[in-house]
Amino acid sequence: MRNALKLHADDTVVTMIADVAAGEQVTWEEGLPGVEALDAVPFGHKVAVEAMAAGSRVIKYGASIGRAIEPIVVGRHVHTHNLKSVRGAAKG
Amino acid sequence: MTQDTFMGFVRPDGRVGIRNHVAIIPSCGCALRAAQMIAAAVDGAVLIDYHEGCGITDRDMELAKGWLTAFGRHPNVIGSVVVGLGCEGLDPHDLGARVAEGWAPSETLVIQEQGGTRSTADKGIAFARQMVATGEGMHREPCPVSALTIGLECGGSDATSGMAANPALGEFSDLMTAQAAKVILAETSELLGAEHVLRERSASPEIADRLIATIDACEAFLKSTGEDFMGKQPSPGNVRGGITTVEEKALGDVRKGGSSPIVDVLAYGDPPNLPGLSFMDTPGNDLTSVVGLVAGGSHIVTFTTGRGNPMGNPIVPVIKITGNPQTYANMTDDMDVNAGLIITGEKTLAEVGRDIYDLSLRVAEGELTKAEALDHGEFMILRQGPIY
Repeated sequence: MRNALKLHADDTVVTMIADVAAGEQVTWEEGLPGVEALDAVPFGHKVAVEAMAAGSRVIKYGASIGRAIEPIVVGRHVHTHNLKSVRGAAKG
Repeated sequence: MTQDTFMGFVRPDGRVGIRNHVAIIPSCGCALRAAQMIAAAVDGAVLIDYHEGCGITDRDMELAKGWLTAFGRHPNVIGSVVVGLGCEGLDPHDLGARVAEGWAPSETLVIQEQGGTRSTADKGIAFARQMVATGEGMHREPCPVSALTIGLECGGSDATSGMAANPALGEFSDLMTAQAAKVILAETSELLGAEHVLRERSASPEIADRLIATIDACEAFLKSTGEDFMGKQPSPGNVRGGITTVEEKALGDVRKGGSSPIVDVLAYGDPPNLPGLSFMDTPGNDLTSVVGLVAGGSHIVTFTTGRGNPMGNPIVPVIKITGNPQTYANMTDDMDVNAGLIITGEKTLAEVGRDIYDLSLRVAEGELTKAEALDHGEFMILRQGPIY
């Protein structure tokens, strides 16, 4: 049973629709293996389904939602600790 | 496509109302208590909770006067009492005269001329009761859905907003624009990062340029404060709900507008002139944005929320839609539509969009929203200059 949603084919993250514990499987399409969560990730939060280099764009809804500020491996929780907006910052 | 209808009140000026409210409008904070006393004493009277009106810039004063006038002349308002103090910057007699240019009766009371709070309130109560009584003789008649103006708002968003509630509201928006209703997308500061979507959706390159210029001006203004946008957009609650960046929030937010083209770009509080989807330049702050949508003539505001926001408006029903099944369960008193059924796989986006459409027509015919039943009447108006 799926516990995540992938909103666009190009997305590098999926969004959890249930809490997941580290080591549990993240599944967004029935019949596909999905990925293993490396962190506990709560409902509504994102998990990487593609590896992303530091500085690369993180894609959700088929569009950039900001840049990775450190390398992100598959299964990692993607949030404020490793993803930053490129908009509206006072400096930089 | 059949032309859907609902039972509404056709006003003498040809516009259509869906509620019969008597608005009590203070022209400044010092007149607020007398205005509160009137609104509290009269069933059918509502307080427009304005409390600036003095010590603000001329520009802010003139704009506020225009928006308060728009509230007094809103088609959901069948009469109004303007309550002033007498020494404030926002001249209550001028405000009252502007409101009285509409079809509905309006009276102006000034506390320093009336001999104090109590006598002002007593006279206001008598005026308001007369106005409420006129509503009893008004009858609903069939009106086309094209007579409706609908505001789209989101607040207290979480990750379910972009996945469920907002795209379902987009389906609703498409049903409304197919009926040639006027629908208003808003909240400029929540669209940073969705410019490419908005450009594609604009009815012409000129509309797209105006839209992008509005967003650029908003971003420049925010940067000019010297503060980081983070912590405001997205808000701390948005972040706890899984939204990391303003771009992510924007891409979810823009789905509220459905798939119809954006035909116009409006200043805060300006009424749309064209049927279909317009964009209004409002802040992301929910109270202020909703007041702009209502000053622009919205009959109903449809409001998506993930974390759960209970706010309403004094003269317009606000319909609450949450995409988060947990929030629906936690805040049943405040939530009208459970779009969380999309997340749990029990309903499709199109089904929930249709549910919102059907509910909005029942609300247009008088069914109370949860926010109305709880007398939610929050009011906050845009101000960009300082208070002196």
